[in-house]
Amino acid sequence: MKNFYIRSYQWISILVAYMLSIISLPESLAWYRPQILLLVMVFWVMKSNTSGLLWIAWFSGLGLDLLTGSLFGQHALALSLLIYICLKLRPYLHLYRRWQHGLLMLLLSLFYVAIQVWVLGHFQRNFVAVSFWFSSLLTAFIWFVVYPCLPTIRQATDHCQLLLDI
Amino acid sequence: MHVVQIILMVVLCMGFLYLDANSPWFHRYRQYLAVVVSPVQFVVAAPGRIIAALNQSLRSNHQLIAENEMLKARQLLLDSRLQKMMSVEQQNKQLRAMLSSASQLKHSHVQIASLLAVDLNPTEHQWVLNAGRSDHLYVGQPVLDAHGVLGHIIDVSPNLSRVLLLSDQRARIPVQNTRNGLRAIAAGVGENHQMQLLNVQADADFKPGDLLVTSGLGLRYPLGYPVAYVRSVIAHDASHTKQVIVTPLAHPASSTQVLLVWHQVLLNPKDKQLLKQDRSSVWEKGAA
Repeated sequence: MKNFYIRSYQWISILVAYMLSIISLPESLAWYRPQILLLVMVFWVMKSNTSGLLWIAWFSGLGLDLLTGSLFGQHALALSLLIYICLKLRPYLHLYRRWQHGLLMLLLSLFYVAIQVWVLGHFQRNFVAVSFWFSSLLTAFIWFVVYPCLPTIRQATDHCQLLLDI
Repeated sequence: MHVVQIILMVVLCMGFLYLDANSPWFHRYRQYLAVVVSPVQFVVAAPGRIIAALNQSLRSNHQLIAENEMLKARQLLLDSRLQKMMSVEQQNKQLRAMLSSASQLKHSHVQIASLLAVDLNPTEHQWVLNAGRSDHLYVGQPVLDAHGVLGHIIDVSPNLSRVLLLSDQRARIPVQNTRNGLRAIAAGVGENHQMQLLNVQADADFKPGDLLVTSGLGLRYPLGYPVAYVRSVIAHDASHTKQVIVTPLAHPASSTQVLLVWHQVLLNPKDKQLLKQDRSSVWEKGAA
C-alpha cells in the first residue's frame, strides 16, 4: 500500500514538474528556467526506494520531449544518465553536508545542460544562448534552499495514512 | 542491473534522436504520441484563458462603447483601402492573364486561431496553437499575424498544432524585394527579431529599408504577404557575396491571435506534371 502511495506521489510530482517546465515566462527569462524535472527525480532518488526509478526518469524525460517540442530523446537521455549517476552515489549522499549537496546539484545540472547542448549541436539544431548555462545555478540554488525544508517521504505517507484513518 | 538498463536507454535515445532529426515518418508518429501530453498544455494555459474571458465579461459599458467607436472608424479606413486593393487585384489578374503566367492565386480562405500560453524549450522557436485537425489545419500551412508572416505549421494533433516560427534556424522562406522584384531565400538564425538572406551575390540590389514580401515560389506561402525589411547589408569582398540581415515584421511576442491561411494555387496541367516530377526527383535524392 505504501508503495502505491509513493508511486502516485511520484507521478503527481512529475506532472507538476511538467507544468512548471512549460508555464509561460517573459522572453528575457526563458533561458533561465530551472530544470524542475531533474530536481524532482533527484529528490525521489534520495527519498524513495530505487526500484524502477530509472525507467520512470526515462519515460518522464520522453514525455518532457513531447511536451516541449524538443528532439525526441533529448531530455530522456540527459535525465536517465544523471539519475543513473545519482543511484550510484546514493549510499554516500546522506554523508554530504548541505553545501555539498548544493554543489553536487550544480554539477548534475551543468551536466544536464551540457548533454542538451551536445545533442542540439550534433543534430544541427538551434543556437543556444550562454545564459542557458546559468539555469544550472538557479537549479542548484533551488535545491539548496528547498531540499532541507521538504518532509521525508515517511512523514508524508504517515500523514496520508492518518487522513485515511480519520 | 542498472548498467544494462542505462545502456539500453542510451542506445534507444540515440536511435530516437537520429530518427527524429532525419526521418519524416518518425515525425508523423511523434504527432500521435504528443496527444498523450497535450492535456498538460491545456491545464497550464487555462488560467490565462480564464483571466482573458473574465476581462472580456467584466468590462464597463463605457469602455465597450469607446472601443466600438474606435473599431468602426478603423473599419471605415480599412474598407476604403480595400476598395483600392480590389481594383489593383483585378488589374494584377489581367496582367497575369496577358503574361499567361504559370500560376494564379485563387482566393485564399483565412481563419483566426488563438495561441496557447505555454513556453516550449527556448532552443526551439515554436508555438502551440489552440486548433488542430478538427479545424482542418494541415502540415505546412502558413501562419500570419497582423503585421506579416509568422511561420508555418509542422505538427497537427486533433486539437492542437505546433508552429515553426521564421526565427528558427530550420525555417526558410522565399521572398521578393518589393522595390525591384529581386528574389532570395530568407533563413532564420535562431535569434528573435533577426533573419538572414542566403547566398546573396555582391551585385544584388538590396538596401537597408527595403520591404521583402513572400514570392510564392515553392507554393507553401501565398504570394505577396510582407515578411521582413532589410536592416543592414554587409559586403564580403573576398567571397563576392553580401550578408543581408533582415528584421521580420511579425511581432511574435505581442501576438495572442494569429491568422491561418488556406491557400490553393491553380496550375496549368503541364506545370503540375513538372512539379510532380520535380518533387519525386527530390524525394529520390533524399532516399538515396
